[in-house]
Amino acid sequence: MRVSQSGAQWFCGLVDGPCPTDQWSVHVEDPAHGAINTFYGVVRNHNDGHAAASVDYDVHETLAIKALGALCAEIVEALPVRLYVIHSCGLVAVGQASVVIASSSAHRAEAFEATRRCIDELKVRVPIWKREIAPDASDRWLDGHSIRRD
Amino acid sequence: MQVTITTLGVFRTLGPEFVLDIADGATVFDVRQALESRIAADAPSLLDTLARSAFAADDFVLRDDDLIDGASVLALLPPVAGG
Repeated sequence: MRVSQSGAQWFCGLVDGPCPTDQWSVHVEDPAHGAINTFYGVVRNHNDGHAAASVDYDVHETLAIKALGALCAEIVEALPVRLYVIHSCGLVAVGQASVVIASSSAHRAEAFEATRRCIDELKVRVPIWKREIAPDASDRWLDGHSIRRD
Repeated sequence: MQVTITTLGVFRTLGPEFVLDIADGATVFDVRQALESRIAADAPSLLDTLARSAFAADDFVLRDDDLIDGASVLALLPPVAGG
C-alpha cells in the first residue's frame, strides 16, 4: 500500500500498479453484517472506439487520499456500512483491477448503495487521471469531470 | 512574485511545471489568466481543458477568488477521470 487512511468503519488507500483483490475482507467482515458487496474496476481492451493495452494512472497523492477519506467518511455517516476502497497509481494492464471497493451491511440494500455511491463519487471527485496506452504504444489522456470550486 | 505551477494529467504533455511572474496580491483567477496566455501560445487545444481545471495549494482545492499570497507552488488539476 502506497498510502492509506482509515476510520472506525472504513479504509481507503492508493497502491502502485494493479489493485490486489484479496485484501478487502478483513476491513468489511462483521458478524452483524449479512451482506457483502464488491466492485472491481478493470482495465478493458477498448474505449470509445480505440483499442487499449493498459492505462497509466496519474494521481495527486495528497489530494486523492484526502478526497477518498472524505468520501468514505460521508458514506459511512449516511449508511450503516463498513467500507473499503483502494485505487491504483501507475500502470495497469488490460484485465487488471484499477479500483476495488467492498462494503458490508446488515442487509443488502445498504451495501449495494454504498458501493455504487463510492464508485460514482470517486470518478468525479478524486484527483486521478488516465493516460490510455494503445497496443501500438501510442497514448492519449482521457477527459473527465471538473473539480473547480466556483 | 514567482509562482510555480506543477502539471498533472494532460498538462504533463506541456512539461512538468510552469513558472509565472505574478503581481503581489494576485488571486487564483490572475494565475489562471496568466496561464491562459501561456497555453494559448503553446497548446491552444488545451484552453477548454484549462477553463475546466482547478488549482490546489498543498491539500486544498482553491477558488478563483482565493489569494495566493504565501503559496509559491500550485498544482494544476485538469478534469478528473479515476476508476
